[in-house]
Amino acid sequence: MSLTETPNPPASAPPGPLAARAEGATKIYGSGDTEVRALDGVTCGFEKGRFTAIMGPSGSGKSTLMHCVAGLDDLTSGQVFVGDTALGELGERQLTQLRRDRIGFVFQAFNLVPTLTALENITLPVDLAGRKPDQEHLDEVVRAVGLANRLDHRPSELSGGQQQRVAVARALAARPEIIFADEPTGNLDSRAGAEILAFMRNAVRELGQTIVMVTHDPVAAAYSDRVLFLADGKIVDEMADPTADRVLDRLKQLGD
Amino acid sequence: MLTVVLRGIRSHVLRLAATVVAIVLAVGFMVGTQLLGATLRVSFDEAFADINQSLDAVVRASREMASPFGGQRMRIDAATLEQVRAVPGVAAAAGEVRSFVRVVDDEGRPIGNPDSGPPTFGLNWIDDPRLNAWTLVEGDAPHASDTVVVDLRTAEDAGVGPGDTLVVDLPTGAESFTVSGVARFGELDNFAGADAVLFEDTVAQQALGEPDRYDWIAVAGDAGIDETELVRRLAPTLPPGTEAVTGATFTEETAGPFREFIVQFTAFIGAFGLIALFVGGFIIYNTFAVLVGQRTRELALLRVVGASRSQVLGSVLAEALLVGVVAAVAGVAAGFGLAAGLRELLAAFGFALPPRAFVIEPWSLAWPALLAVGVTVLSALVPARRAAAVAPVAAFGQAAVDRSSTSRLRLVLGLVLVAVSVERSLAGLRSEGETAFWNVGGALICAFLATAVLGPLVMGPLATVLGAPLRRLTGVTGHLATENARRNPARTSITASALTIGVGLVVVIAIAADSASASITNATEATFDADLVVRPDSFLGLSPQAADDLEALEEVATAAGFRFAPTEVLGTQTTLVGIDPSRAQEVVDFGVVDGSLDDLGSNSVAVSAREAERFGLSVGDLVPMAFVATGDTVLQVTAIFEGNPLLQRSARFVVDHDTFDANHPPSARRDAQIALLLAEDTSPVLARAAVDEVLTAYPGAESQDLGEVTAGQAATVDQAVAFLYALLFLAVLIALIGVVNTLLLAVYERTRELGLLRAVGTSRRQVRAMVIQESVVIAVVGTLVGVAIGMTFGRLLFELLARESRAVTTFSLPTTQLLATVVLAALAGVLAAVYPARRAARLDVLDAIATE
Ligand SMILES: Nc1ncnc2c1ncn2[C@@H]1O[C@H](COP(=O)(O)OP(=O)(O)O)[C@@H](O)[C@H]1O
Ligand SMILES: [Mg+2]
Repeated sequence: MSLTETPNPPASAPPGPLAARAEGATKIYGSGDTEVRALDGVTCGFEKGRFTAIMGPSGSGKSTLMHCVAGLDDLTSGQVFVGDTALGELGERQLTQLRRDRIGFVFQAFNLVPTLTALENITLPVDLAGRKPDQEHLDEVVRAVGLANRLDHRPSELSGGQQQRVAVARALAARPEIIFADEPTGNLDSRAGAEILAFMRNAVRELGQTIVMVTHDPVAAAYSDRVLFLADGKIVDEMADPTADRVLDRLKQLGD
Repeated sequence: MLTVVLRGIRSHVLRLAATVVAIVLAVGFMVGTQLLGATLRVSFDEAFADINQSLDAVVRASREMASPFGGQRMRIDAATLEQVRAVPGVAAAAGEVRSFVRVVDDEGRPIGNPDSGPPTFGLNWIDDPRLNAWTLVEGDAPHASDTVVVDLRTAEDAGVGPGDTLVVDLPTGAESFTVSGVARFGELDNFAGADAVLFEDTVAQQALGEPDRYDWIAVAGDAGIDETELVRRLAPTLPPGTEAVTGATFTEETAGPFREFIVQFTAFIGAFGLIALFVGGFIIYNTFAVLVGQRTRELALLRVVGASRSQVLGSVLAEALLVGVVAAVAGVAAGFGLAAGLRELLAAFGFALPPRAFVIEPWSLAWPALLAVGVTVLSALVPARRAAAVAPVAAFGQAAVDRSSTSRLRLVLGLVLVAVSVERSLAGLRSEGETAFWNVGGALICAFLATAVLGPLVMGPLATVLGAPLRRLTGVTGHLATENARRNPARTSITASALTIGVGLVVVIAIAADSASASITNATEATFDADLVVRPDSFLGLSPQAADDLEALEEVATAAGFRFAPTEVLGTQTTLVGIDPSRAQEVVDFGVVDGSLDDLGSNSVAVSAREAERFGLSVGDLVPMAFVATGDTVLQVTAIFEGNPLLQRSARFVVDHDTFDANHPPSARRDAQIALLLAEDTSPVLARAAVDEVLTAYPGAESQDLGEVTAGQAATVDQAVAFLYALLFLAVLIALIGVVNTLLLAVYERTRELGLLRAVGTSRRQVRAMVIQESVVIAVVGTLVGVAIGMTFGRLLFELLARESRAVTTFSLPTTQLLATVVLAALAGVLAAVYPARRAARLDVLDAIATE
């Protein structure tokens, strides 16, 4: 397969309601000679209740896209929406609230506040909002991540895999509309990584959670329902129901 | 390696800011006070030397009686003057007279000299220019008996010049004079700070001193004759009981106590600079500890590429040295600014100093700077050694953080310090006098050091306890703040310890002062049965007529006057009080234990129980005493009284007015205080009005009820305390800068974590609240420990004071003030956190998640 064989998919809206979307999203860093187009008119959507992976070579704009859609960074031009909310119109305070109440995050590393226990980290967004955690949901999440007997441990007392599971649990605990994960398994060995990925897939299948994951690992991408391929700040391809081999093939083509 | 040091400093220059500010403040303070002290000292030495330039010898009574107003000697016969003039080598001689007077305006109000300010002196005008330090700027010398010369400043204050009338209150009563001239004293506009009125010679003797007597005789020698030689020639010609001293000796005696005062005062104030520097050391330690911690990887890399341990150690110490030197130099410069500012301030308060360039004594500027550099390097030593211990392999691994702060060594060292502190305290209670204070002072220093050493061990639990209410109040931010306060216990507790020192000292002073005030109030209330007390506002005292005029009032039952003078008992200097026994017993509870005060008459004396014990006296004994005017006498003890501590302290030997007056010059036969008992059925308000009406004839005299008396005394204590607080403010300020420093370093260190918190939905307000609450926890922990130490040592100091000075008898805990201190500390914590909190809230969210 070549690029010319799949010329159009990203432009057309995918079926089903969207949890978040970008329209002509452009992000430019620097100016003049040092200008970098991290995102170059990206239009895409993330369906509700699905697990979407974003792939692409290093520097292709994956993280930038994620940061912009999640309200961590702003666009140079274009629009992003979470649900029906246009982020460009929100002020600093509203963006913070949006991240707290409607979005979950899992980063590659430094996911947890070192002074808080695992449980406190999990309930952090709910606590910040001054709400009481939904105990039943919380128990379910905790049971699902298999951390019931580690809840009062500090991050420094947990393994890397356990830390990431706590991070995922935190993202799930607040029942956000969408979870963004940036290379969540990047620092883990393959076994711990597989656990996390399986767990995220289960959250989508069983709890109906929406997850968007940035990764450069075809094995990780294979856990998702759909893969978006990014290169030079543009969406260049997408793939439904990916397998590791197919993704690897596609990446090789992109690399050419 | 030097390049590494310089680059290092440049890369974290902002993180060194607090260190630099702390050093600059402490050094600036020390240098400023030293500079001003030296300049004051030298300018007054110069002024005295200039004034006594042609004074070669002084002839005076040999015996001096010390008093709080300076030494007093018997006056000498005017006839001695002629004998002195006849001595070969004497070029000129003149008798001098000196006493206190009071200048009043047309309406009888005193001019110049606020209550506690310098007094107004009455002097005789000396015609011989060789012996007269005064130079007329206007008009003529006071040659007529109804003319006076006044100093330039008094002339300006009173708005008078030659030809104008001036009312002067004299020991013999108020009189009108015509101003004949206005004069300056050497280079000065007034009498070295005091005001002066100069009279014709005979008038001065009669009105100020005693007829045909001089206070002393000033002598100028012939050109070429040595001062010592002149004194040697004078000595054999003088009557018994008279001596001659050189002009240099006389000048030194005048200037000496003044110089001594400035030296001690400068040293006293300088001590607060040392405290500030000590506190600053804590900040420096923290800063370098954090810098080294943050640079572990970089240091390890240096080791990998071949730097030796000693090179790494050297690089950190070199950085400390460089920072110390730069800050110390800036501190010296700041000291000059401070001294200049203080000089302006003094001038604004009327203490105009002779115009003079600053006296720069290199050593007095160098030692604060050297000390500061020393403290900086020493404080950086432990962090530097830690840096040197970083293994090369750390360059590849995760940067290790938080060294064990719960080491056994720390516990042992801390407990040893506590033990030493307790031991010294006990030693203080057992020893006496100055030794006791040194012991307790040493114990206090050990207690502060123990806090710093043990702090990391208790910081965690303390923060948790204090954080509990915060957690309940603010939920997750309070929780995070508390956890942050205890996550680097060593750093946080050092920061808090710096505050502990300042607060501890403040509390010690507060307790001592409150106890002193309470004691004074108790003693005054117990001593006086009086309804009102009348006091003059100058050393001149009140004419005996005042007491009689007041007692003549219908509203007044008794008006008892009290006179004071220095005296000698069995060759020991002490104070004499003159009373009217029948009146005085009405207003004061003497608590006579033996004999009777009613028997107090000519040639008899009453003695306080304490003095009686000291001199082994009992009723009927004969005591050899000496008085200012009459010299040696023998009196018989007729009564011994117990009184209360305040009375014991102020009244030691008591005679009746007749005995007092018979042995003292007119200038001393004046009441320093009149205690009034009102008639039974009078309204206090009306009585007071009647009293005040009588007092209009006595300028400067003021009536006070007992409440006002104690309030006045408490105000004096409060003033002293306010001064000490002002001095301690520097240490507290530096400690607060330490809090700012620690928070800033923490914010810097936690960039990633703060970004994460922001990413998952912490608002800026919540981040700010978190930093502020952390600051409050640190500040309150430091303050509470300070209050605890302060209360312990306040109690100890009270014990010592109660033993040493009979004035302090009642222990009093200033509860409101202590609570206010804690609240203020919390507020200061908020204030210290404002900037770091803003920095934290402004951090870029993406910084947290940007991959390394
Ligand atoms: N803060 C920034 N300033 C300048 N350029 C940036 C910044 N962040 C990202 N870039 C550039 O934008 C491009 C996309 O980066 P990024 O989204 O992090 O890529 P990816 O996550 O796919 O590796 C890269 O060329 C990167 O160098
Ligand atoms: Mg990336």
